[in-house]
Amino acid sequence: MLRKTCGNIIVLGLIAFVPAIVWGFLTPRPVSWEADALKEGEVRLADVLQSGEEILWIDARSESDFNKEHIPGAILLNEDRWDDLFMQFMASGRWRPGIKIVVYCGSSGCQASHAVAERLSKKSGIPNVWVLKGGCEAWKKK
Amino acid sequence: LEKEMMRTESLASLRMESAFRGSLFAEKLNQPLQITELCFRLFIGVMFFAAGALKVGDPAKFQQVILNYHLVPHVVAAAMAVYLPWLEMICAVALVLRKCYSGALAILSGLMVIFFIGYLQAIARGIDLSCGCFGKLSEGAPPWMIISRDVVFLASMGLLWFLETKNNSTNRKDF
Repeated sequence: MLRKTCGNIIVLGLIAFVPAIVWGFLTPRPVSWEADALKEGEVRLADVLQSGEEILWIDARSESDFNKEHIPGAILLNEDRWDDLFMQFMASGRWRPGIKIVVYCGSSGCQASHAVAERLSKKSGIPNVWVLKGGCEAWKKK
Repeated sequence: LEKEMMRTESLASLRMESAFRGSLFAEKLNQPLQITELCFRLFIGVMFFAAGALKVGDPAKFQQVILNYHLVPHVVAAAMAVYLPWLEMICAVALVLRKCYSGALAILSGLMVIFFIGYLQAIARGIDLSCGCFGKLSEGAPPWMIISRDVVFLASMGLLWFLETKNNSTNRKDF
């Protein structure tokens, strides 16, 4: 049985290779093979800090994570309580046209920063919105 | 000689009859097990096919999910993001159709164990993540739900292994 199972594993593994390789080239959402590659709308922390521009940091994580620690001066704005927090964000007077907004979440694996950035730029019409590559982890490593 | 031939014939017919009754009886006994196996096979097959299909459309996102486990380097995560959804779907189809059955079951069980351990270590290390098992559908699912679901999958696979081992020992034909 062990020999048959091993044979089957090899056959199935090879069969899966064919569509995986074809799809890897054809997919509209390809993977990045370089660790340092930036995705659309992302900025590196080093570039942000070197630019010298005034930055408005937006924390897209949960409120509890925000309360534990956050980038100094950051504003909490996540999708869990979007309506309340967006009202607070607009009422805070911290945002003005032209200021660069950088949204971050926990790490490079989380998607919350991308979702919040997309919502800010596309649905709320706020320009110059970016996502911090590596999220909060990148800031801690700074 | 004639008597001897008649005796041999009657003995042979008796043996055939008892063998026939025995096989019918065995078949009746096996039926509930076969139905159970079919149900679990369909359950696991459909779940893994759905899991693969939900991830295959967005390899970039699945790569981010894998990277968030902090277990493998970037290039390995990229290869896994492209390959694993297809492997899941192909093994799921093989499992349901009972083709390359033991291999499909071994691969899916292995993947399930790896996902489960990966998820547990991420929780233990305090990494906040979506398991990514069912693409967008698994986003926001609480850890207890993901762990319970994985335990159900693992138990179902354990049952399929048990039935497969039993089938091999009795040489039952595929259902």
